[in-house]
Order: sequence, then structure tokens, then C-alpha cells
Amino acid sequence: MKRILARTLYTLIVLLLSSIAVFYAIRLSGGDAVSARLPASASYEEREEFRELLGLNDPVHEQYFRYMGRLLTFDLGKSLTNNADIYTMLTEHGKNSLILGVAAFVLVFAIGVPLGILAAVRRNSWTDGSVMTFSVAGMAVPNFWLALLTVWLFASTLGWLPSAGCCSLKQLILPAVVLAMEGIALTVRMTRSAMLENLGQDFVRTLRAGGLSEASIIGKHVLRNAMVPIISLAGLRIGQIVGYALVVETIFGWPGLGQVLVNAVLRRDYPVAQFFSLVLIAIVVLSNWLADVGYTVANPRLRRT
Amino acid sequence: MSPDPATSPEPSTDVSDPAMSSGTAPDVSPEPAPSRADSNGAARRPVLSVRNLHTAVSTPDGAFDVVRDVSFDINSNEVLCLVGESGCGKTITALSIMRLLPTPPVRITSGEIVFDGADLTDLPERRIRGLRAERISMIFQDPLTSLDPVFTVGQVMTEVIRTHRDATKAEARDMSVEILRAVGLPAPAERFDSYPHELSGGMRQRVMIATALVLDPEILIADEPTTALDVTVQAQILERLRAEQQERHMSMLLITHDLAVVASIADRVAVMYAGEIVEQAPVDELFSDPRHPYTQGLLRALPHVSGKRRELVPIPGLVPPMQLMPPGCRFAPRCPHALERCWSDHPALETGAEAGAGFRCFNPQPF
Amino acid sequence: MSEADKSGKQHLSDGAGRAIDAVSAPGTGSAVAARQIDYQDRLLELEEAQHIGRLRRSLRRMRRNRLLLLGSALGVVVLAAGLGGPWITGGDYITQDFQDIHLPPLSDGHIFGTDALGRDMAVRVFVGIRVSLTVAAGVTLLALAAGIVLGMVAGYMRGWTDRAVGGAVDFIWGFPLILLAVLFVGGMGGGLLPVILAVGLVNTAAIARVVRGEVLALSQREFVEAARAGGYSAMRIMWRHIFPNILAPAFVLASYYVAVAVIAEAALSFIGLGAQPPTPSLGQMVADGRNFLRLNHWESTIPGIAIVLVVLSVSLIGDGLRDVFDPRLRHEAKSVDEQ
Repeated sequence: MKRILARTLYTLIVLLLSSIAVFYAIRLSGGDAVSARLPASASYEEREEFRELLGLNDPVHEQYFRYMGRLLTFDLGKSLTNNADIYTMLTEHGKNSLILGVAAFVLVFAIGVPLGILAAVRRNSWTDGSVMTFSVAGMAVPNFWLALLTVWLFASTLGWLPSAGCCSLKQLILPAVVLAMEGIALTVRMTRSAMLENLGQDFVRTLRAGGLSEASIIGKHVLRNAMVPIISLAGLRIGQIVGYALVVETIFGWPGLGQVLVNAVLRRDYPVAQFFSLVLIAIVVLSNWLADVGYTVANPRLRRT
Repeated sequence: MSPDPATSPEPSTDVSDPAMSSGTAPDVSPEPAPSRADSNGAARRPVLSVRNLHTAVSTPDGAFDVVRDVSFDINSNEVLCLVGESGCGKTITALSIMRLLPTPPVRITSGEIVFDGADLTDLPERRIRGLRAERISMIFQDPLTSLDPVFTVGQVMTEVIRTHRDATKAEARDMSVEILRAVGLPAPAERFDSYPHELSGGMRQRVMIATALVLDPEILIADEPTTALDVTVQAQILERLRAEQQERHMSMLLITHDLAVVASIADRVAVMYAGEIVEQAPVDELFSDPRHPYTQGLLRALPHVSGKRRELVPIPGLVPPMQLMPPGCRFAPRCPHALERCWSDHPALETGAEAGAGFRCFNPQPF
Repeated sequence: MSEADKSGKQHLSDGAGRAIDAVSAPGTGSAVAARQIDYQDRLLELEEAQHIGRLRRSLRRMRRNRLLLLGSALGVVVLAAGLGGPWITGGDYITQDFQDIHLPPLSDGHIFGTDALGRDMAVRVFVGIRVSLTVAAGVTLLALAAGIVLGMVAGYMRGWTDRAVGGAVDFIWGFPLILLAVLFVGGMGGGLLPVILAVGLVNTAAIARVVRGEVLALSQREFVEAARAGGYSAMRIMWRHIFPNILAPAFVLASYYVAVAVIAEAALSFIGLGAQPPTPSLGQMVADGRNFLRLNHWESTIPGIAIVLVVLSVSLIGDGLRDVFDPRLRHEAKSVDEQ
């Protein structure tokens, strides 16, 4: 319990600090945003009026508190590029990102863990060899490159799947697989080495001496022990998926939060960039917190302390 | 495995030949499970016989015997102690019996381990699993690492029971709590739901003992069960093991490097050196009249044994490494009484006064 | 521990250093004594051979390690392409030639063909590799220096310093790299500098974590405690005793993070946030070529393959180095020795 409380406090502090950091960083480049939005011919007065309109002339900490207040009332302003309501953008794009992210997350563990177990159980066989080769390849091939290859193969050449768009199941397959690939490769490796490490532990010998079947020893006891580090890193996986979503959503034209942020940064649409930066940071931080709680619950050594 | 275990490097004088050691029929235990009633009687029959066991480890430099030509019997209702320095092959011998060797690289290359009329060395894996915990149990040295950390004591015990017996979860729980209480674990009903990390070292060792005994096995193999524990706890655990062994009329193979432990618990002793048994004798005999120079050296290093005060004399030198095993007697490089012959010829296990006793030495000296 | 127990144990487990005593052991006859002395000599020789063997074995492991070998060979090729390639091919990656657009590979004068603007693909790929390696090298040096300093400070100071540095490091290490880089680009504008800073920051955190752990472990070791008890200053202990011992793990880790840097730069350049034209970047070239994927796929595939080769070579070298130097992987052999 103490551990969970401490992690919660830490998470809140991190959220606060990063919101301040993002806010100041955007303000530092805020001048650019103004000139990017107004034509070069705009007069000083026009610029000042625009700055005043956006509240950029107030002290930064006042702007911060005002902004935080507006966050709580869901009054988030509008995009500078297409005048869309930011809150509406959040709900629409957030839903799409959630679908893609959950699909990728499920793929990571549904494929990565069984493959890792298989490689560990058949270690040094050709099964192990090919699984590990796949894993090395999965980490060496950057996801944008993999995206192009899969589009080229499955969309352009074979014509089985659409190359981009949202949000049918067929359109989901390619981005989800590409988004999951590095996570799968890493999970395979981690599962394999955690299984092997636990297979060498003394307690395995004790269980064998108890006459338990190899199926139970490997599938239940060793696996449960091996899952402890993998669960502890599941939060990081969510974070990595959020990060890669920036690239993958952009490539596949999947209208999610990542695509919104990248476009906002490219177009210097700073109210959108600021808000979605905060949203994505919050998702990462909260998922780390969630995984930490999960780890504490999964690991009896930490649970009751 | 060699096709004929009888063709061992040691020819005729092998005292622990089954025919001679049991004093009964040459066939090893023709009847099925030994019944507990008559094992309490005077005649001790072998419950388990190890014959000319060779266990080898393969390394990049070649294969080496870590256990060489080991033969002994574990008789009904007795405690046999396997003594020796670390690395002498005691643990490998025990793991060979349980078929728990880390294979590869370690495996049995020849010999027999006869239990209940069957040779354990070539029993299929399934049948070996059926024997473990049910008829032959083993407990290990380090209770800190030997228990599964993410399952409760009760979950593991229940699983062990239900692997071998048709028992409901409630029945398994009752059996577990009862045995936990019997081995002296305080508040056994609560401990049943504890995780290993919530228990002290001594408590964990009691849990391991309880799990090993819950199915009432005929043989318990204990590999240095007290080495990792505090001294006060060591005595309690040994006492408990001895008590359980007597109450259950169980046989026990206790592995230790500690002669004080041997003196307090053993009926018979086998001394191992560099993978071989160098001397075997009933405990009183071994302490009063050790024949092998290595045994004598061990005893000299132990003060106050059997009331005699002796000067502490360490045995000089090192256990020979696998790569540099002396061709003759393996103890020759450290032996104060070594002869020319000890360097060239390998001594066989000489027959002692009694069956199940003997020593490997060309030049035994009075102690 | 009882007296009997203690002496028995000490005797049974000990034995080293007593080899000389054997000489005085009353063997029967001088011939036997001579044999015993001879045997002890051979034992010592064996022990010495094994001791020397340890270094030699790690070198042999290095030579036998196929991953490392393959990675190094690939690395040499990639390095040669990055450094020598532009020099051989003339190095002009800017000149556009609208007569010769979309030329396939092995065309006259353009072994990798040309792109949509008629620029020579070979030169652009080689310069792209150089940009990629330059970014990776810059990031890695930055991360190595900062990571070692931060890790050592956190590990040695303990207390609040450790908690503050450790907390920040943990947070940054767990933070998605691409998101951080996008945030930096958002704050600083496009180009390679925010990319280098973002990747450098994450890699710094990764190295600092491991260094901190190593420092904590080393501080418990006798030689550090002895130095501390001897009154040496913290600076001296860090520099003389701890620093040399953390170099190997830090370098092994850094070699792994070179791959991370290469991928991150390529990915960011791909979505237009990294290298800005006219600087050629492999990721950007893949992006440029994607519109012509169906007909002129080499404009994407050649730089794509180049990225994979760069990443593969550095990560194979990293894996190989870890196999050679990480003692945990030698666990199996060790546990057999102990039986």
C-alpha cells in the first residue's frame, strides 16, 4: 500500500512538472506561432492585438493558471488552422487512438509472450532460432519502413488490405501490426530470458522433487515468476506505443491523437500542440503508474509491505 | 549407460554387492513396497540400492566423472549420512537418485539405482515423477531460494498432494496444515496462506520438510538441510528430522559436510572423496576406528568428538580438480601414508568386518 | 556457530594456500614425497593457467562470437560507405537533373539510380548514412559522458541527490522517445538539433540508470570500502576505483543505444520533423520515395535497406559485446562448476 501511495504521489508531481515544462516551452516558441499565423504584412498593432487575444502578454504563470482552469472546465479553445474545437478533437481522435493502441497492446502480449515461452522451452532448437531471428529483425526494422513494406506488399501488390484510412477492421490491421511489431520483438526476448532465468532457479528443482509435471512447472510456476518483470514493463510498452503512434498514425492516415500532434507541430498550431502534448504525456505517465500498481499486485513480495 | 553394470572397474572385492550387503537373497527386494511393520524390527533390509553409479559432466575440455563407481544401500528405518567436502559429488549422487540432474551437461553414464525392484536410472520420466514426493522425497540446502516465491505455501503443497492423490482442496489443506503443525511450524493454518518471503529461514526449511513428508514417503533425501540456517535453528531442524524419521519408520539419506551433524543423527556413514566413496561404516565404528586416512584426517580436524581431545590437524592440500585426477588413489597427493603403489593402482573398496562397511586404502593405519 | 562446527567447516571448505604444507606431510619415502610435490606444482600450474585463461577466454569468446563478427563486418561496410562513399561518387547530393529523373539502379553513372528530382541516389544514400552515423555518434558521446557523470553522482551521493536524480532519470528513461523528440521540435522548431537533444536525453537516462546500479554494487565491495576507510576523498575513490569498473557496462549499453538513435533520427526525418532539406537523411529519402512505390520502389527501398543495415550492424555489435562481457550469461557454466 505504501508503495502504491508513493508511486501515486510521484506520478502527480511528474504530471505537474511536465505540464509546467510544456507550457513554458510552447511559450518560448510562442512568438513564432504568432508570425506563423499572421501574414508577413501584418502591422505591429495587428500582431499585438493577436497576442492580446491569445493572452500571450500576461505573465507566464498567470497564463498557466488560467489555462489549467480552462482545462478543468473543458473550455480548451480552438485550433488555429481549421478552427476546430479542441475538446471535440480530443474525443474524436482519442477514440481512434484508443482503438489502435489497444489493438497493438493486445497484439504485443498475445503474440510476444507465447512466442517467448516457445523459444525458451525449445531453446537452441531451430524453433528458438527462428523466433529469435524474427525478434532481432523486428527490432532492427524501423516501424515506418515496415509500414511501407507492408503497404507495398499487402495493399499495392496483393491488394488484400487498404493502404490507409480509418476506421474499419481491415484498415486497422496494418497500422496495429506495425505499431505492435517492436513491442512483440522485445516481449519475445524478455519472456524468453525471464523464462530461462527462472527455469534455472532452485525452486524449480524443489517443484520437480515434488513430482509436479513439467507442464505445470513451466506453464504455471515458471511462467508466473517470469511474468513479474514483463508486467512491470507493460507500462513502458504503453508509453512506447503512444510514441510510435505518432509515426504510424501519420503514415497510415489514421486520425488519432498522434497524427493531430504531429500535424500541429508541423503547422505551428500551438494551442493544439500544447494541449495534445499534455494529453499524451498524461497517458504515458498514467500508464506507467497503472503498470506499477499492477506490478505491485502481481508480486507478492511487494503486495503486503 | 553400460549394458552390463556388473562389469565395473572394481572387480571382486566390492563389499556393497547386493548379495553380500543385504545378507538375504541376491535379487534386490523382490517383494513390492516394503511394509512398515517389519521394518521396525531388527533386520534391516535395503530399501534403495545404488550400484556402481557413474555420473559424468560434459565440459568443453571433455567428459569427467563427478561420481565414480559409487555403491551403497539405504536400509529401512535408518539414517545414512553421506559426508565429504563440497564438490566431492554428494549432491550429484543424491540428484542422480532423484533423477534431478541438470541434464545436459550432467548425466548418469552407468550403474543401477534399485528401488522397489525397478532400476531408477532407466525408468521413464512419468514413473519417476510418480515416485517423487510420494515414495522418495528430497529437501534442499537453501530454503531462501528453494521455494517458489509467487505461490503461497499452501498452493504448492496442495498441488503436490493433488498431483499424486485424489484429494479435494479441503482435504489437501487439512493434510498440509497437519503436517506443517507436525514439523513444528507455529500457527500452521495461517502459514498455509503465507508466501515464502513472509517466513524466516528456519520456517521455510520446515515448510520444505513438510512438503517432502506430506505424502509419507519411504525415503527422505536431505541435502545439507541445515547449512544455510542459524546454529540454534540447525539443531531444531535436525532434531525434527530425526524425530520424523523415527515416527514414520522412514529411511533417510542425509548429505552433510559437518561431522557434528553426523555424530548426532547418523546410523551409518559413507565418506566421499573426489567422487568416490572412500569409507563406509556404522557411525560408532567410523568415529572410533576410522580406517581411511581421509576419514582420519576429517576426524582430526574435529575437536571433542567421542570425548577425546585431539589437536586440530587440517588435511593439507586441495581436492584434486577433474582435469588432474590422480590415476591411482585419488587421495594420494594429500595422504600422509601414501605408498609408491598408491600412485599407480586404484584401491578397491576393502571389505570391513560387517556388511555395508569398507574402505579404499592400500595402507590403512591405526587411528 | 559452535566451535566444532566452525572448525570443521573452515577446514572442509578451505584448503587453498596449504599446498606447501603437503611438502612437510610425512609421506612414506622420499619418492612419494617428490610425487606429492610434483603434483602440487601441477595443481598450481593448472590454477595459474585457468587464471590467465580467463582473459584469453573472453578474447576467444569475442572471436568466436558470430554475432559480434557479423556485426563488425557489417559495421565496417557501413562505415566505409558513409565515410568513403560520397568521396568516391563525387559527393554531389544537391544537383538536380530533370533530364534523368526516376532512373532505375545500375543506370549509366548512377548505380542506385536517381530520385524524382534527378539527384543521384548513391551519393544521397552514402551521405545519408554519414548524417545518420554522425547523429548517432554525437548522441552516444553526449549520453555516455552525461550518463556516467549523473549515474556516478546519484549512486555515490545517495540520499536526496540520488532520489531527485534517480526520479528524473527513471521518468525520462521510461518516456517514449519519439514523443519527447516531437515535443522538442514543437518547442525549438525542426532540424537535427532537437532530435539529437531528445535522443541524447533519453540515452543519457538509460546509461545513468545502469551506471548508478553498478556504482551502488561497487560501493559495497571490499576495495572501495577499504579505500573509504583509508580516508581517501570521494573524488579520488570515484575516479580511481569506481570509474574504471563502470566503463565496460556503460560502453556495452551505449553501443546498444546507437541503434536507438539511428532509428529515432530516421523515423523523425521520415515524418518531416528531423533533418530538413537539402540535408539528405535516410528516413526523409524513404518518405520522398513512398509516392513512387509502385513503379520506382528503389527510391524508398534502397535508403530503407541502408537504415536496416546500419541498425543491424550496431545492434549486432551491441549484442555481441554484451554476450562477451555480461557475466550473468555465463551463469549456466558456473552452476555446473559448483555442483
